[in-house]
Amino acid sequence: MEEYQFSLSNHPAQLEDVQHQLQSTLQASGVRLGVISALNVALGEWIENIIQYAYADTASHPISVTCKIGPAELRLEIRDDGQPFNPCDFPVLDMAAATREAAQVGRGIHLLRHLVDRVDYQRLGANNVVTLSKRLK
Amino acid sequence: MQTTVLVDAPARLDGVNSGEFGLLLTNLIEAGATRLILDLVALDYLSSAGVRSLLMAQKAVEARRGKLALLGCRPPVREVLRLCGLEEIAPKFESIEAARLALRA
Repeated sequence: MEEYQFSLSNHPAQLEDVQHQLQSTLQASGVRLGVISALNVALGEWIENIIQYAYADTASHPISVTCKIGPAELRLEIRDDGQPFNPCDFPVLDMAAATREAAQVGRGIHLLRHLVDRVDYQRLGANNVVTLSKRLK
Repeated sequence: MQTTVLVDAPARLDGVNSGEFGLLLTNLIEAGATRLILDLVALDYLSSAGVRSLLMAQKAVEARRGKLALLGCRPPVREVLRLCGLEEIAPKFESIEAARLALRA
């Protein structure tokens, strides 16, 4: 099992940099491009969600991403200290409304759910821990 | 006479730049660019915020009975559009000539 750590704060401009680091790491580990781009979009959706909704203040907050590459599965564990929010409890996207209304909310969580094979959530102390898993085979 | 306008999309459309990009498109459409070709050749990262900006543009074009065409839509972008139920948001073309011809029809 290979393990890599990435960190950023809740500043939107830092997301792209972390995604580039993750992409390089996964490419070096031989992960397929389709898997990399799906994980990168899923990661981006979740971190954008954290940045937009998780904090009641305007302070800087740490967000960490742990990437674990096993023989059959890749996991991204994303930890933030924002307000509790379980993406697994979020309602299913109303697809008809989402294709009609540009401003429809929930498209990001919908993408997150469909770009990976499994989404798990834990509240550990003051942290949200979301794990995105994708099969490699 | 209707004007055809070609707009190059950036390499990423995410929460950072999609609002601005969507505004650029809707301003162009409101100024009369109702035949709009979006060149997506450089675009390889499309987030839900980017999808929102594309859908805003498509709705603005449709409201003015115009036409929108996508040029060079890459697989990761197609996949995000498909998952959002927007695979058919606009016809896709591989050459600018084909897109221009389709918009004239």
